[in-house]
Amino acid sequence: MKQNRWLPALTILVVSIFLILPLLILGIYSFVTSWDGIAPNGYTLDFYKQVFSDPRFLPSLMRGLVISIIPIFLSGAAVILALYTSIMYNPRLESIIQSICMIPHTLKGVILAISVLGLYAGKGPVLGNRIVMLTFVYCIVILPFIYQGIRNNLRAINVQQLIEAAEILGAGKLYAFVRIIIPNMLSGILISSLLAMSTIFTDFAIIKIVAGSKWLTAQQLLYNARNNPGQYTSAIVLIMFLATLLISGVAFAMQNRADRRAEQDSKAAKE
Amino acid sequence: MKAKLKNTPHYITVLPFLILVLMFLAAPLCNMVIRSFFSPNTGTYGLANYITIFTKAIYLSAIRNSLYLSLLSTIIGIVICFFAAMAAAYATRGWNSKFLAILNMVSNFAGLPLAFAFVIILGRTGVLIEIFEALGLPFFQDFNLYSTDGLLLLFVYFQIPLGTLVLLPAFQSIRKEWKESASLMKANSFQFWWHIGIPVMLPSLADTFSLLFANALTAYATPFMLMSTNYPLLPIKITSMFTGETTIQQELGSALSITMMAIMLLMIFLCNMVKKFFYKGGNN
Repeated sequence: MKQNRWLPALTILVVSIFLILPLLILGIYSFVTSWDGIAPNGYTLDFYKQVFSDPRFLPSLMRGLVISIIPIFLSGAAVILALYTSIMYNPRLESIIQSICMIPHTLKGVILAISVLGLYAGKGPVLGNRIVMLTFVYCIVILPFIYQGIRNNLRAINVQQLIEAAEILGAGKLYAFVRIIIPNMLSGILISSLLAMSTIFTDFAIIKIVAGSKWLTAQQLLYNARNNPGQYTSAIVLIMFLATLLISGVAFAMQNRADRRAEQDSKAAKE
Repeated sequence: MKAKLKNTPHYITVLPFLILVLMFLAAPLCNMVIRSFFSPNTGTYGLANYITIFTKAIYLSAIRNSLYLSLLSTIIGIVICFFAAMAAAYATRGWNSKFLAILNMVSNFAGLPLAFAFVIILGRTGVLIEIFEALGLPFFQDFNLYSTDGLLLLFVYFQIPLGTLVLLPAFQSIRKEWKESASLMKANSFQFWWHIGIPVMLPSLADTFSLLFANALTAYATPFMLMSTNYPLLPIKITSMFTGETTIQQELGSALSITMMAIMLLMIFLCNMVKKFFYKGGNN
């Protein structure tokens, strides 16, 4: 069979144009004074000035990031501790932990958010608090990312051997785990944290359902601005998209570096 | 006492995870299932909410619209993803890496921002619509973004990067030797893919299908931005029953959520059946 060279290239080109076109037009549109013919009528930075002069904009951008910090710590700690038990004492636990962590991946945000709201809304000042509920829904939503990142990392380390070595030197199991294993996992934890962060940053459904207008993120600011001129909303969308790209881009680059290092390690081990 | 203390710490480290999952995943879901059978008017448990859902036109049309959009966007999406992933697998290295970068970038472009972008380019006074009108080309004359067609276009758009990225590894399982042997037996490209390639990839295709379907079925931000609550769609109907400005009907909303979950699980089950069937075919 002859291997066609131009057919794959053509397919890639067509699909890429379809995918990039909306982004490209949106990007251009955020800089135009008006556009009602073949080409824009003029260019301006006014809409960016307007966006940044809104005192609510930067705080709302930050709020989307801040709300992800506690869930990342809580879920990360819970998963690491649970996996510690499974590795040290009961390997059968791991498949159970994995299945549980994958449930949110199947159910998706809307159902998770609705079910938590249905149970805890109006139930006292702590659990009934919208921000508390939001934090815990996010904890559940990011479980699949957190689990996968941490699990991949643990596979690359010989946990049992390292802990035994530390124990011979007189360290306790948990102490050895915290001081030796966790520092070894930092890059994996960081990668999954960034992925979790970008998931939360781009969320609109959960925040709309659980928090209403009690926690104004950039997504909600954008939704509230839907009747403003298109250039204004385009500018917000572009800034948010670049922020998302930055977060996931750093995660992607770190992942690549980690993969390459693992490859080198396994090559070195073979030699 | 001492022995007991020595044993407990082993499992105490699972506790935070257990509490988190019980309180914010298991308990809320159980509560939702129980509530879906409760009817607040009579104060009794029964199937009343489900009967309402499957007899009232508004809920039936929400289910119909959701099924239609999810199925069609998944089928169109998976066909495009199949060819896109195949192209990526057989393209030169340069094309491949550029395409991957684009897919990864665009996979971040979903939900609300995506809906805004399509309003700008294909909305009532969208840029592309104005351009084609100025050029005198009638491409988008009958196109209405704020309709089922418009939603379908957006759904297909967000399926492509996800599906292609998930399908790519499957193409690496197609060995070069198989293609060579097939071509020695005078099979053409189409025959190779129809008889060998696609059956081998079917488990991956089934997985991708259920992933894309669930993704479309539960999509909320995109349709909500375009149509607000005017368009009957399962996630939108469910959400408005819990947070709506008018009347909050949590019991009916719970039943509707369970219905949506059931549709999703049914699709996962069907895809698994397809997978099993083809695995078995391989053994015979």
